[in-house]
Amino acid sequence: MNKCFRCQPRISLFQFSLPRCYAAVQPGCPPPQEKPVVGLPHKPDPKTVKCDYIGPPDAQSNLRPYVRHYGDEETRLARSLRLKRIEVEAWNTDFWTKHNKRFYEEKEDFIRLHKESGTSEVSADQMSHFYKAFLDKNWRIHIMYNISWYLKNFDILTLAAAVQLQRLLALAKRRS
Amino acid sequence: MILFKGIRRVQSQLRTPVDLVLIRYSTAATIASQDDKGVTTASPVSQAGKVQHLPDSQITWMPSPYTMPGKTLSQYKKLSKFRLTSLVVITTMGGYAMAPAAFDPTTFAMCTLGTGLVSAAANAINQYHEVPFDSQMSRTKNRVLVTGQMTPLHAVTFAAVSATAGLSMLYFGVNGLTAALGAGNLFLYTTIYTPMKRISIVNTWVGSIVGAIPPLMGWAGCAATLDAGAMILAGVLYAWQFPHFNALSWNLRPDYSRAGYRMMAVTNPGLCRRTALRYSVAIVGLSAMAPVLDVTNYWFALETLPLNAYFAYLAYKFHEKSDSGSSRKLFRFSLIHLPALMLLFLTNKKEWYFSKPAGEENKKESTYSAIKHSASSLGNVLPVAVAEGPR
Repeated sequence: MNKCFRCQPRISLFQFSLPRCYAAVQPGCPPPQEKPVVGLPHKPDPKTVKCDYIGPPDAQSNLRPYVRHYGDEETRLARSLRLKRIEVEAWNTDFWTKHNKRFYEEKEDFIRLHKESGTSEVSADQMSHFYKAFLDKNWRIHIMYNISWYLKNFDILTLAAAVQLQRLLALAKRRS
Repeated sequence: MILFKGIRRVQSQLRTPVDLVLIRYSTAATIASQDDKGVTTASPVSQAGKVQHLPDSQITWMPSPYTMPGKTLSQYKKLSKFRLTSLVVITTMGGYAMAPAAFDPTTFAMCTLGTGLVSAAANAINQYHEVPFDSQMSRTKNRVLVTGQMTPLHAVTFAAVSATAGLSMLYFGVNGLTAALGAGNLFLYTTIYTPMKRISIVNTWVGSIVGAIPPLMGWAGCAATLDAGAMILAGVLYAWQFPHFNALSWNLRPDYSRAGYRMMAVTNPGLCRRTALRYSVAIVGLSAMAPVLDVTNYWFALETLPLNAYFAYLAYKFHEKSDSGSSRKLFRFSLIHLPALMLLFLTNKKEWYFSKPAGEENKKESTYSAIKHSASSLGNVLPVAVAEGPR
């Protein structure tokens, strides 16, 4: 029920009539062009696509960006859900970008300090000192982030449930 | 898409089944980077042959939510961490089989299925909570919620339905104690263990309790009570979690640290090594105590000695020289050790109770149970149907 039906590739009947070996391209016999292509090479425009799209992981934050589609028939609830999702995704991306940047910078500093003090290669055991120090330093930040994330995630969940209910009721009303 | 193609290609290069499990845990980053280097794998025709995916070299934006045709069940399996759930179900079946009471196929099926559903629900909720953290770690970045194949609402609905179905099965199909244990375990895992992973290393101990409860559920499902024998089985599973998890997390320290997870391997490597060794030795002790508590016969202690001794030896090697090699060996063996130990438990069970009257005959051996069952012993003498049963 959450799937965007129009984006689901539909199985064409042509598939069932050909034996499997025809899946390979035969010379002189062009492959059937009936298979719908799923996936886009570039970031789509929210107004033109028919469903949400998710992209490849961002290099700094490791989170995958979303494109939240909308049309003119978007209800108030759906709009608030979409804006809330965009807001939370931006907040998340911002947090993790800064956090990961801090992590790599501090790791570089640690390795550099170690190399300067004599030892050529920093062993895994020595690195674990850095990992522990990093975790301890960020303990409060992580807990605060955790609480915020749980609350925001729950907000989105309840909004999404409300939107879904709204859609189901609209569908039921249209059918009856 | 790494998700759809990378795992397949690696699977064709596997040698042992254990490697399959390791693929889940090992850094998929190397596989992923090979994919992204513009090497187009074969033709863009996908596995199903029904849809066309752009070649991996073209970074794609995929619709979300999206299920590849024919992969709906596979998606739910990933959401519920099917392999882990299967292992949990095996330990529950072991607990049921080891209990000193009659084997009832209906109750057995209900207990097993119910536990499986509750475990699936717990794992789904866990994945729902941990989306941004899972994105940071190579081991977990291909999960269904992280890659947007499913919406969070869908995952939580699945968890709610699964938990309701599972707990109902346990309550109505088995007994109240099993249902209570199941509900408690679900609560412990989702509400205590999951947030605690980022707060304190005590989460490992809590997680071990979570792992020890399923055999208790199986035992309670069969015998309706928990006695010392049940604690042996639970104790073995509790102790097993430590070498298993400590070895697993050892290689993932950078990832855990960056994602903010507080694990022994990161914050206290010495403790990590010591607990792995300590608890593997505890397993030896617990297995030796099993015959004393009438769970198994005395051959069990002899048979498990080589198995547990080798496990302890690997843990000792990990303690002395903890590197990726020794931790991987310990982790891999832990995956063999647990099913083997469960099998030995089953084959060495003290006595099998096939029907209720036989079970009550054997219970009369000890004075305590003779006093307890004095009412039913009268029923066994007189030709009168006895309404009393273990439930």
